[in-house]
Amino acid sequence: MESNTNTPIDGKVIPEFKNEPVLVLVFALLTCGLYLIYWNIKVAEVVNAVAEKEIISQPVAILAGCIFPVNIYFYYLVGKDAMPYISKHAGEPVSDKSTLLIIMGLFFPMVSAMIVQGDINKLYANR
Amino acid sequence: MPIAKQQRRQWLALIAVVGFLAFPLLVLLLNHDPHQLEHQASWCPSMLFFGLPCPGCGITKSLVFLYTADIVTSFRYHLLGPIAFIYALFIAGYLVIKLTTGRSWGREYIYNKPLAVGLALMLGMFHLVRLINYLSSNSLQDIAANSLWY
Repeated sequence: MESNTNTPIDGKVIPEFKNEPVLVLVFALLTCGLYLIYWNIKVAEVVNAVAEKEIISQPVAILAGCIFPVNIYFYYLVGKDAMPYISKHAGEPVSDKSTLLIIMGLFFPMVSAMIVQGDINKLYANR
Repeated sequence: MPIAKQQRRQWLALIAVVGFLAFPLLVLLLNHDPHQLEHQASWCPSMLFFGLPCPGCGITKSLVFLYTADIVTSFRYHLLGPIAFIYALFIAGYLVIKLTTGRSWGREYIYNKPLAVGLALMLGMFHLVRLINYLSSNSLQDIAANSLWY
């Protein structure tokens, strides 16, 4: 079930965007990608709040969903810059998932979204 | 973020944006008559696997027709095509200025939530209308025939 309120984590107010990864896939399939437009905006919002700086431009996140090769750059940015902040805040070991996200993002963007959503959920796990 | 790392990201962003602007030119070079594109299969994973268009389907063709100055056909293929072209030019300009002078001219239009929401609504509405039109004018067999599995 999707949750959408603001959550203070380590003194930071982070927009809550907790969602079952499998539901991201289901919603994306059912809406033929419409849900991923909303998902992209929310992910950019959460990532920028966690990092306390503008890592991902929200308009670019929207266009990245439908523009090659901007989508490759988007997943590179999420994997290289955004995910380490999320892992750090979640108390998880930092790992580089950019290659996986780029390859999956090229052929199955919904699967990349599931991977990112799974990591974002860890932010709220110890709440 | 260290400056070298930040500059590398900006160079990558510039390559991505220039790639987006240049890719339709390559398509145009390979297809002397752009109207032939109407009968060619899409490379979109959504179309290939499910036979259904994704929100971005048609944006390359939209730019191809924009480059041939056929604005009406360009908008017909994708409402956001010409808008994405203008925004990509703006981002490319922003990045070139940033990389050469270090100045962040126009940054407020790059990191802008209302603009993102506006783009999302436009893209969402366009995709919804196109989906309804596509589903009402194609049978399930036609949709399956557009996929890879048929």
